[in-house]
Amino acid sequence: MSKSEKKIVLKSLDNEAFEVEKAVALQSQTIWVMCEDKCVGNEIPLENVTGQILAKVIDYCKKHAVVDGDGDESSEELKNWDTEFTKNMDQSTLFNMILAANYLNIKSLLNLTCQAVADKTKTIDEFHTFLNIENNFTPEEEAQICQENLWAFDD
Amino acid sequence: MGCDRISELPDILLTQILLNLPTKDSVKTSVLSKRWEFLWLSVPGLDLKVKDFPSRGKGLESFIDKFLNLNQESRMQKFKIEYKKFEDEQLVWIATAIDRGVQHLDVETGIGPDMPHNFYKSNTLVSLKLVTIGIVDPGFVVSLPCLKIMHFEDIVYDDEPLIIEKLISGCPVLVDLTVIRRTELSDVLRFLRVRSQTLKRFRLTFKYLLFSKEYSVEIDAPRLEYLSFKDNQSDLIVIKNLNSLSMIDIDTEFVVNFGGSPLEPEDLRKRDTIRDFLTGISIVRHMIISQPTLEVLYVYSKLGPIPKFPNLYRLDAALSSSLLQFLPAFLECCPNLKNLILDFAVSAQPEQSELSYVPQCLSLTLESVEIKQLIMREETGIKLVNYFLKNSAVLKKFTVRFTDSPMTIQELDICKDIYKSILTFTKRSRSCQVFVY
Repeated sequence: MSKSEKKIVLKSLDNEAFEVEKAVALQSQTIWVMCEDKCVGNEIPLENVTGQILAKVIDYCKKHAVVDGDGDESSEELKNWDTEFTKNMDQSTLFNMILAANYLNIKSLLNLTCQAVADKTKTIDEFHTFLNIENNFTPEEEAQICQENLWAFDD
Repeated sequence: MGCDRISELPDILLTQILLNLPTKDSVKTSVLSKRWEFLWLSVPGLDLKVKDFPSRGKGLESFIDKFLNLNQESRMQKFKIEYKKFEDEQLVWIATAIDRGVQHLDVETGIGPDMPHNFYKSNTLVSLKLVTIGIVDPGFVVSLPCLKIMHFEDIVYDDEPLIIEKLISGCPVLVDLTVIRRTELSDVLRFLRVRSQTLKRFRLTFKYLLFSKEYSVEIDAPRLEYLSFKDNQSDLIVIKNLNSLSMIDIDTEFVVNFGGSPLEPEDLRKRDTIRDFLTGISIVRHMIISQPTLEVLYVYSKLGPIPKFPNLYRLDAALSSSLLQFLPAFLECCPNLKNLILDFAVSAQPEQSELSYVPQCLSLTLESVEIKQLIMREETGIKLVNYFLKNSAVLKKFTVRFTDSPMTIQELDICKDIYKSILTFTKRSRSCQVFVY
């Protein structure tokens, strides 16, 4: 196989182009299907992901491509890398990452980013503040819901 | 304040996020807003403990039944429950979770039940943790084609001595195995054989209070990279084909001490077991070794040679002053050692031994030494410090950590003197930096 066949170009929503190894990109089921189906040269347009997010996704895929060759996602080193990777992401980046992981269909990245949101929202107050969710219940409705699963609210 | 980005996510992604929370927290999100009121019911998994519920789990059974009833559509990804009593219901729950394609199963029960039979042929399980539950020979060939991580803790191995072997042979992609054995309840597993072509990490902890000679273990795993061997129970240990071993954490006395057969010259079989074990792991790059294990190796070294560890570049050893004499001989077996970390515990009797022999690694390779848990007015420790500084030719970094801190002015003076003397010890390696904490 020649060198160019091993690489493909991913183009973001805002027209940023990233040349990556095929093995790296094919961790995305979506890209895998696109490559199988269309054979649109070696450039793949990704209409739902910005360049800023795509760069991070590619970082993740590069890191995991090396190890996944072995079918082993549970090594300590990789886990630590994953933790560092999401540690300082703000709310908006994390949500864009979740959407991107979902769109690109990269299961392990979806799990990781969902886990990261959950880690930052241990209490209901954290949910309200970190996720900015507006409470549209009346106090009576809220009390009623608590009553239905009292065990979960009794601390 | 940012905008509410989370509302842009479809329900299926919100439930993925909730899947990472304990069920108790996920239920709490029902009060966030109207959109969230019933989302928790669609979460593809459960994560519950008895203590989540008031008065020792009251309401837990009915909650799980209700959840499983309302949640029938989705494939289950995770089922985690810590439930320390035995009720028939839990077997129904586990069987239901497996029927719904659970990937991560984590169950702790009271002693008693055996895993339901559909477990032994789950096509979806990826990780499994079982605590105090029974496993039996299902009577058919075990097939767990996706299982990568398996953790068995205080398992009741009912009347089938080969059950673990049968399970492992049914796991073609297993990479991570933990076996913890502490309870003596119906542990019929006299011979534990771990034979796998895919396994990369294996942790074995085997500690009973009672001594028994009847246990043995065999590890045959050519791709094993990490081994934690804390088996104090198996009299016979067989290591085979550890061609990929990179790191080992050893804490065992090889059933030599404490009521075992003493290691005397006539005990050739024990000597051979230890020799074969050491030879079997000699490819290792990073070793963590406990003080009791080193004590046994010290005795062993008078009966048979310790093989060389040519790849070992890092050694973390727990040491007592009685082992000081053995240290140079053990280091001689690590000709390429770069990093040495010593956890130093003082034994009751001060040791008179002199450290004089200089092993090869001190002259050629040892770049970093750290000695932990030193006590200030204890001389053996200081002797050790002096030994390494005086004899290590290529040392770049030397770290000393004292456990005690000065309490009085007098002690502070002593402390300063010790610091000063350490800093002025003769150093064979001129470029060595010394750190004292």
